[in-house]
Amino acid sequence: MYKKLPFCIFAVLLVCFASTLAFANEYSNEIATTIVDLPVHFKNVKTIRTIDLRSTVVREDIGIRAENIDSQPQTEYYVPLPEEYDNKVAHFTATLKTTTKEALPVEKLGFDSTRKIQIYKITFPEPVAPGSTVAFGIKFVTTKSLIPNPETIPQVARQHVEYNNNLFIYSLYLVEDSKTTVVLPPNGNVVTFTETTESFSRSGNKIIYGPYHNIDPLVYSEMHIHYEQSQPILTVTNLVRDIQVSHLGGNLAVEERYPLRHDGARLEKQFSRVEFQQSAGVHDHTNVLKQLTFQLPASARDVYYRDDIGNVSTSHVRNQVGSTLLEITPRYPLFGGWNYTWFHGYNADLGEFLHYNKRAGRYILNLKLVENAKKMSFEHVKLNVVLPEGATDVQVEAPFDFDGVTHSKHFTNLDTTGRYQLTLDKSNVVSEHEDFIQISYKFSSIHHLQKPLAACAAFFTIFMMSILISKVKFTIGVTQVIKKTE
Amino acid sequence: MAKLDASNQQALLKTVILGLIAGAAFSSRLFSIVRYESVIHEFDPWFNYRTTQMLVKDGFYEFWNWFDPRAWYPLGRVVGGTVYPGLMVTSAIIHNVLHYLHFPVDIRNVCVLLAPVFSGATAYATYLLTCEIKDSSAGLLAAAFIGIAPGYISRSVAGSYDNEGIAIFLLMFTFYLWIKALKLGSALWAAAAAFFYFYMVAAWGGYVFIINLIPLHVLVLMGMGRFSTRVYVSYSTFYILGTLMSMQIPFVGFQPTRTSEHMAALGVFGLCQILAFVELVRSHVQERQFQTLLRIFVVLIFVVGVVGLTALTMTGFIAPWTGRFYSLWDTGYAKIHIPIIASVSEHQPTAWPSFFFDLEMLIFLFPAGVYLCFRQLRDEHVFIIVYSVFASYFAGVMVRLMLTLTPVVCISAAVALSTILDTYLDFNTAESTTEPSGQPSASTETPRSKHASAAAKAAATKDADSTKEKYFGILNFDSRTIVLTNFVIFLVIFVWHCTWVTSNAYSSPSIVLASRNPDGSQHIIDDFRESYNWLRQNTKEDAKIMSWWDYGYQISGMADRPTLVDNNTWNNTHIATVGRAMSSNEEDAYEIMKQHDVDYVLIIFGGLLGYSGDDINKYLWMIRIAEGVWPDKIKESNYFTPTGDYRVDDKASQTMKDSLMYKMSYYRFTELFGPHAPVDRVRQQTLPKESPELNVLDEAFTSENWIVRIYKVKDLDNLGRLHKDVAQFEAGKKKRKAQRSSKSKARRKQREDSD
Repeated sequence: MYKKLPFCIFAVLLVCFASTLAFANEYSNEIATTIVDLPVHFKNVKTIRTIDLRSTVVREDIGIRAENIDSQPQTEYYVPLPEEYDNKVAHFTATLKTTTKEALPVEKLGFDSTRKIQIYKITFPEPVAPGSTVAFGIKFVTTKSLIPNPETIPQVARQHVEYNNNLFIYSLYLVEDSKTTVVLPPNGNVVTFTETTESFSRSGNKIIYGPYHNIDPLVYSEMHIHYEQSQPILTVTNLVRDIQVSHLGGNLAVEERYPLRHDGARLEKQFSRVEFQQSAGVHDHTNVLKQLTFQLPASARDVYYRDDIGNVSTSHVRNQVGSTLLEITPRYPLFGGWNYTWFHGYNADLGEFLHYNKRAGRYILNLKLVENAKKMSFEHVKLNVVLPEGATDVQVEAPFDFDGVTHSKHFTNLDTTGRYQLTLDKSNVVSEHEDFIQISYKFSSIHHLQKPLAACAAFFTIFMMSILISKVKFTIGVTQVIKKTE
Repeated sequence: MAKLDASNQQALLKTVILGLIAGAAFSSRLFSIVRYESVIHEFDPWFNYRTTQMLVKDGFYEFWNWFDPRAWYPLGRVVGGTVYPGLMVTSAIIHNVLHYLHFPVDIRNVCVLLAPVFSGATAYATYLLTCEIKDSSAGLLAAAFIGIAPGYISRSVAGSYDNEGIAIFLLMFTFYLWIKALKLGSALWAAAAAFFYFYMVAAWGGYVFIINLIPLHVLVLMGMGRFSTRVYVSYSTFYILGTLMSMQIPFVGFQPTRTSEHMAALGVFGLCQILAFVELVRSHVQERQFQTLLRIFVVLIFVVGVVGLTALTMTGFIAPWTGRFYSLWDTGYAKIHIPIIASVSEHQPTAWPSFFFDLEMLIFLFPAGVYLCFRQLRDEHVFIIVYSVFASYFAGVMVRLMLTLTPVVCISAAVALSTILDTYLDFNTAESTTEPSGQPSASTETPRSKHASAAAKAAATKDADSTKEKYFGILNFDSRTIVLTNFVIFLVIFVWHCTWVTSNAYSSPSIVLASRNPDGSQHIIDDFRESYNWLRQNTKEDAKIMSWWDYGYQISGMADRPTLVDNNTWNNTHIATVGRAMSSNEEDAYEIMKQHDVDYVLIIFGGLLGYSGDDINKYLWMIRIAEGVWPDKIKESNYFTPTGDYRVDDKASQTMKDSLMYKMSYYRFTELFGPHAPVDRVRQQTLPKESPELNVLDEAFTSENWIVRIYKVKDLDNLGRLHKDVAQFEAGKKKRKAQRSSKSKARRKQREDSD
């Protein structure tokens, strides 16, 4: 009996600890709990899901045919996302599966803290009558979903990553028929993947799960794929793009600062140059990054590529039909876990980007938030657009929301009143955001005179001062005598 | 259009010519930007650049109190108190003014272009000074010479952001103000000279040159019996104000009253007072009484002065001369006593050809100019003579002091040349028709020689009145043509030579190497920045880097990491520690590195590319400096072969092969050659087939052309074994239960004790 005493004490302590924890939990829940209670008006007759793992950014396409099982016509369809998954979603769109491919508005409805799900609302343009169906597609783009496993690899080795997701579609509604296709990179080497007892098949670089029938709402069953991904996993931590518009010079100056991080499997040991030089033939199969290509506008000129400590000489500019290619080589080959920071910039003809709308009397600047985002994802993007001195009434139109829009002043050469600077911030950006945004503003050409006038005034003042100073005598007494003595 | 009168025409012409000279001086320094990029060069400029960045970012007050814990780890460096802040403050002011006027010029570009801009100012200051010596035509010539003389360009090309860049301007301008003050006996000009002297003190350690040269000038004037109230007023004002102001610089502090370098100035100041006092007494007492008084007085002063000075020096109130100054008197001194001073190439005595290389024909005209100074011998000419004698001596002793010689050479040469031109281009006595005949030869030449002839023309008109009555000059057309053509050719060759030297010898940033691709295009070898950037991006923020001191400033500037030693070589022992770590065997080196928390070791290796400035070639200096501190541990002779050769191949001595530097340089290098015999392209020696074994370090990074190799220091073994044993254990060479040698046990114990 006495022998068990320590155990008893331990057990009592454990109970106490657990109860405090439970109370603490309950207490905190009372404050933060929000339960979003949603009506179930639909059921999913058929869903076809494709998970594209070919790139390092995962794209999930879901085609849904939903039927209204309510007695009233309905327009709102809810999409729940588990919190963990929601944090990775960079881009979420829904389109109607009709010939017009009309985009559907997606709105964040609320967060259900008991079930830890984020709920989105999709609104159909026309109400869906009871008993009839509607076909639409949902697309998620997620970043940071690939985890290198093993975390460290030798310098010359293949990189494998793990991907985890729900085997079924996570839905608020009953799913009658569901099928999931996972598309792997072309070589399709897979270490392990979830092999369910039910139907699944694997052919080439595709793994197909399903069809499954009558899946209950909010079922989550872990799907796990461990496969070879030889591409480097590139993340830009904070892209800053500076764009300066000059009407007088007809010039658009662009500068992009890239702090790049390789999130792939890290090096097991340190970097060896001998091995690197000797294994040049198989670099394509490893996760090393040796070169990046940027597509610039056709009129791009004065291209430069520098970093904090000076010019980097390893770059080429190639002129193509319709665009200019900038190929840059980092100062050193980039392995997993390594960072590289640089900036490049160019000048382009403003005519390609700026249009004047005579009716509205406004200039419209057509820009992209990011460019050349195919091979990387961005944790944060900051776009600074500097409009000419005297631009007013600035408005932004974009197909997606920004985290922040800031209006401020920017001063540069010979500015007196300052230029209009517009700053757009957005987190978690992927190549789907490579879409045009329109910045429109009013500008009267009288402001062209501002700079020459300022310069003239400055010179006039200087000359006036010099005339005044040379005419005024500062000497006390007579000094001529001394000069003559020489 | 209204016609300008002659004096206005002259003024306009002079302004235009000076503007062109400044433009030429500025643009001939831009070779490196055009050829490479706008980047800070070499070593010291990187430190200046880093401090300037800091000054611009954090403001002057922070800069003044800046303690940099990242230099000289673990000692740190009080940067605010150990720099000459003039350069940084100048560029920060320029930067801030431009930004205030909304010109967003990058601080890097300000720093890169500072020296070229100031070279324009130097040309102007030299013009002013030479005008005081002779006339404006000589002034323009001198300005043109100093603008493009390679001796000055070598320290002031774009990107060479060093103290000398602004110091030469300050030197010239202070001298100009001094001459002006002396001529006029004006306290105002002397105060201005004192202010620029203060600026010079803030900018460059070479200010000692001014504070010795001006007193010397005064002393010589006294000796010549030219002491006057003018001298008294100007020197007293200059010395008092200058000394007080110079003591405001923390790095200088009380040195002007306590070190031997400044004692000459103090002595001359005292002598000035005595002489003035004597003059005063003389004007009040009778001649005979005065003689007696004077005799007593002089003896008394002499005895008191000598005794006082000796006593102060003995008791240590006045610091004795520093090693760097001893090496100015005895060129062999540094080699024996302070290897670290001798190891710097710019502290070597000057070779004769470099006088011609840096000054070309000016060096031949220089003595002629000095002779012409003797012919007139006014106060300012005495100054030039004193200056040339001293600068010539110093330039012969140390290569870098060629810089202080260059201005006086330019001035003297300009005086000589302008006298020749005055004589041969004096048209007043000849018919006016000869004027155009002198022109064609000059007008077709480069802009610089145009200045020369234009200047001469200006001079000719000016001097016309004075020369007319005295002599008739040279009238023969042929003798004129021969001499003038000769000199025009000389001038053209001079310009050509200066441009060639600037372009080929002085415009390489040295952090970037250039080679040619087979198709003739330029190929940039950028290994230094590749590795520095790698360190900057991929190591811990506080990773300590050990490297030879040459690369300290570059590492802290470009890689932004703490270093053990850098180019501010104030602590010989610490440098010797690094030298010892590099030249010891692995175990000893490991202990030193662990004691200093070293994370990475960086070395330069040129064996693959044939880059001769690498660490193996500097290795003997490391050994010598280490031996200077630890003569029992490191012996230079051990690193040579029995026959006394310095070799890295099979025949290399065992100590050499065991040393850390050797191992780091050649680690895995031989694998590059496959079945062929590995060759070190710098030493032209065939290396042993096997790569050296390296146990205490891991190769962390090697740049593309192997110039920079970075090694990571391994952690202590978990089981307390030596790394050598671990390696052997892992290779399976030893039995599982390896017998630990008594030595390793002792070492382990020692390590525990030290923890």
